[in-house]
Amino acid sequence: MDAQVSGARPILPLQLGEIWIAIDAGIVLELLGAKTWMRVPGASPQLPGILSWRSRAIAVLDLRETLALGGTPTNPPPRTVVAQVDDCTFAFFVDVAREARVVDPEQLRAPHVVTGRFVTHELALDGRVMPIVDVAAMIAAVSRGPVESA
Amino acid sequence: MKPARSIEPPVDAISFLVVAGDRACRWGVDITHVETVIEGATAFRVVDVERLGVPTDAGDDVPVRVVQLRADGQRAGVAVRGRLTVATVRRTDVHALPALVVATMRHGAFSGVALADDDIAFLILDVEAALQEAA
Repeated sequence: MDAQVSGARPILPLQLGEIWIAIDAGIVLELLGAKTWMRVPGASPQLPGILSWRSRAIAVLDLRETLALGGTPTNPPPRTVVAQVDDCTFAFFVDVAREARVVDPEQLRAPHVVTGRFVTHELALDGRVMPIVDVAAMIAAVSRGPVESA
Repeated sequence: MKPARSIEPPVDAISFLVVAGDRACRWGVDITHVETVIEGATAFRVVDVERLGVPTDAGDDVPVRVVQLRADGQRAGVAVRGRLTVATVRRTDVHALPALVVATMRHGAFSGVALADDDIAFLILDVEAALQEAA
């Protein structure tokens, strides 16, 4: 059945260090391997730099910083996720990206295990509880300036 | 006699003086704004590029040079450490910084970025911001 008709939604499970999260797969444009990036002096901690993608410069979103996960990311981060929200294209780094999955609304529940400003739901998947992170809301928040760690 | 070779870049290209220190940030300035490079000169106003957020490898055992910039009749020097090279890039490889990054910057020393081989080559110094800093 078509996901739009059933209310099901595609999500993309991602691993950041010890943490698994899931995001709306609909915003993802491309999954890449490690990409070099450059810090921009004076940039905010949540959007600390840029990288080159398809012959253009796009913003780098620091998911760890924005989600207040802490820890030292692997350098260079092994996977690069390129995403788009409205007319903003940006990239962020993760350690592992699994295949996108379609989940039914009944599988989603209110966040209990992991809570935070950008966590909308949580989901039990493959024996793990994953917070669903609203990256679009995150981009809207950080574009207004530095945000308090979520 | 052989005709002198032109040192002008092609019309569809821009030459930059690029500063590449040991740190991750490489940056360049449009060479048309560079009057001269002086070893260790301090005879004119020097922009405190660290206030603009530009890494200068301060404290490293690297000689200081001053790149003297000029724009709209204003002059100022930028003290730099690190290697200086000249890079010529196509205009199509010169881009503004992403609006998302610019909107959240605390201060802006850079106006753009040069790309090369699907990678970030260097950031481009905002000369007007540098001269304002020196004013």
